[in-house]
Amino acid sequence: MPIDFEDCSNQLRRITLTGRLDLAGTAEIDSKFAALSAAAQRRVLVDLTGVTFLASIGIRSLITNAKAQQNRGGRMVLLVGDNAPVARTLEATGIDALIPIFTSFTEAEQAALA
Amino acid sequence: MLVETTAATLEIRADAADVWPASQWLEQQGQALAIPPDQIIRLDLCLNEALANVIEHGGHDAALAPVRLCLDADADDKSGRATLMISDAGRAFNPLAATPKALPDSLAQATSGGLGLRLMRSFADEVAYDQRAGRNCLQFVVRWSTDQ
Repeated sequence: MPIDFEDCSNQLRRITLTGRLDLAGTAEIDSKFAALSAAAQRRVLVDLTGVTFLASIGIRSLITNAKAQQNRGGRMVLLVGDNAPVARTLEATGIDALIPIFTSFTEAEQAALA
Repeated sequence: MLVETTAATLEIRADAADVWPASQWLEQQGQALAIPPDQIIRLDLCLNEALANVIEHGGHDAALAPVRLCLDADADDKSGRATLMISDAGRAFNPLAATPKALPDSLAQATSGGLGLRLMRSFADEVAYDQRAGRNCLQFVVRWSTDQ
């Protein structure tokens, strides 16, 4: 499954994306990602540790859903773990300044719930 | 020692369905040309962003003629260099002519425009554009050290 989720608590949903977030991969998860984010308990942790490739189309999807989450009064944070290529791609676009990015799950969880 | 290689070429359609096969070709040919895996990833990102531009901005003409890819590499005992050329017959479009957008101050102001250009400029050591025989030619160069 390139997209999966787990409700960690009443407040927090973890959405896990895996594989390639290129044109085809993002098209495959886009509507489900939006639906899972919208139905979430306002705080969403998006786990990107298993993403092997992140193109701008994938980053657009993250931005769109993070904005929607913010507009609903919620918050989205990203977990990259030790996935250096994905972290570098996010930093290259400056998105790390807009959507908080964490390497540890505990820190990401705390930031999402803060 | 200079390692001579033979360039690899591929023709694809300007269609989202052909982007993944193009990435697979890049990985296979990159390995055959002894391009290090992390350098192939850099080129793959550039390839994906360039093809997304062709599909989005190329118009009708881009869909009628194949997009041509050419990958070449050479290395000596100090450094290596790989070049990926992407040419298409779509509407003249120089992605490098666009002024990089300033980073937004907040998520509310964030738009998705300009992300691909930012990625291409960040992941390639050189990016060049020109028009040849009515085709857009975009060239990416990555370099790496072979000095152990």
